[in-house]
Amino acid sequence: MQSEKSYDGFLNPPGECRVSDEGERVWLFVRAPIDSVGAIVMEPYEMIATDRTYDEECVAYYALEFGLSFEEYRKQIERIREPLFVPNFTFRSDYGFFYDEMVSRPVLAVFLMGAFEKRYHEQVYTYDDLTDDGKAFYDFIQMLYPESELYLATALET
Amino acid sequence: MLQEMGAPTQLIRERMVDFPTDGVGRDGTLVWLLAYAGQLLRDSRAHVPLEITTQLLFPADRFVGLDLTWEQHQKRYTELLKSVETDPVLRTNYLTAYELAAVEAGRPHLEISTIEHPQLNRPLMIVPHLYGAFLIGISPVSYADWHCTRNNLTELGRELYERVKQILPSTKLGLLTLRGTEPLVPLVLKSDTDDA
Repeated sequence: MQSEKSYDGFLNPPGECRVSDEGERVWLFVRAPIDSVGAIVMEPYEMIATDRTYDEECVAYYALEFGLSFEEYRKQIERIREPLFVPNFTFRSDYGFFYDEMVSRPVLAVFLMGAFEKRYHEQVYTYDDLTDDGKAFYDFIQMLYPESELYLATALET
Repeated sequence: MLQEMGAPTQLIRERMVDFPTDGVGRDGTLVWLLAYAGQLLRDSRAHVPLEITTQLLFPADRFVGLDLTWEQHQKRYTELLKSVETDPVLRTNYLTAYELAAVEAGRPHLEISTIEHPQLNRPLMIVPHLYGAFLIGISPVSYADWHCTRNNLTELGRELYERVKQILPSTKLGLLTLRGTEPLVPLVLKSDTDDA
């Protein structure tokens, strides 16, 4: 198990060299198979993508670089993330505005799998980027919630 | 949890909470295992390397109990009832005596949030400083004067409890019991709003 002071948790990035000085965090989301139970939580601050949506989000990003309008890009990202996250019309500040982050659809669990103070992964964490202990925990959670979909969401600290 | 929900979906493979056998209502009950970042409970300004916590939000009237604060909560509730010499639905600052006692006895594990929900008219309670949360129990009935403690966990529930406890530094675990089985707050989609 990890040392008491470590937030590395279950993360085993593919390289030992840091990619940047931004920190990174990885969250596990257990998406409920039905919408009638669970918690609505905020999307991780500065989330890059999830393991299940990264490839598709990259395609949208490349299209943006090749001239897709930002508005159209934003719509594509919303569509890609829609199985887990939707635009926030749920949590409103007492000043009357909705927070910019998206919110989850109902989840049965959410958990911080680990965090680094530097960025070590150029892309997003997937199951293969977890330690053996991390994979065992992921499998345990999948066993507990058999009909749920698990997502790993990678976020940067900017 | 298939049997408990009376639905064709298996949300939780095996029972992790032993609920009482005698229910008193049909509101339903949820139990969440909470993993707090303990250093932030002790000092909310404590240095942590990154924004590594999340939070749960739910309407105040769904709160039944948190094992970490249950005794103080009940004590404060009794004090409030004595002090007002009236019924338990006295509203103080939009909270019932039960809810007010929960918040006063619950800090820093539990607070009233400034965040609002466009479809709810009750204040939201917030459980802050969480490494995570796990829904571990769903019952279609509600109970009189019952909240989940470690003693109510099954072997599988205890296994999850012990595993979560060991993963991240200063983890402090709690068991949150809520009324109702619906999502903690309603999800509002863009199509539900006027500007859709």
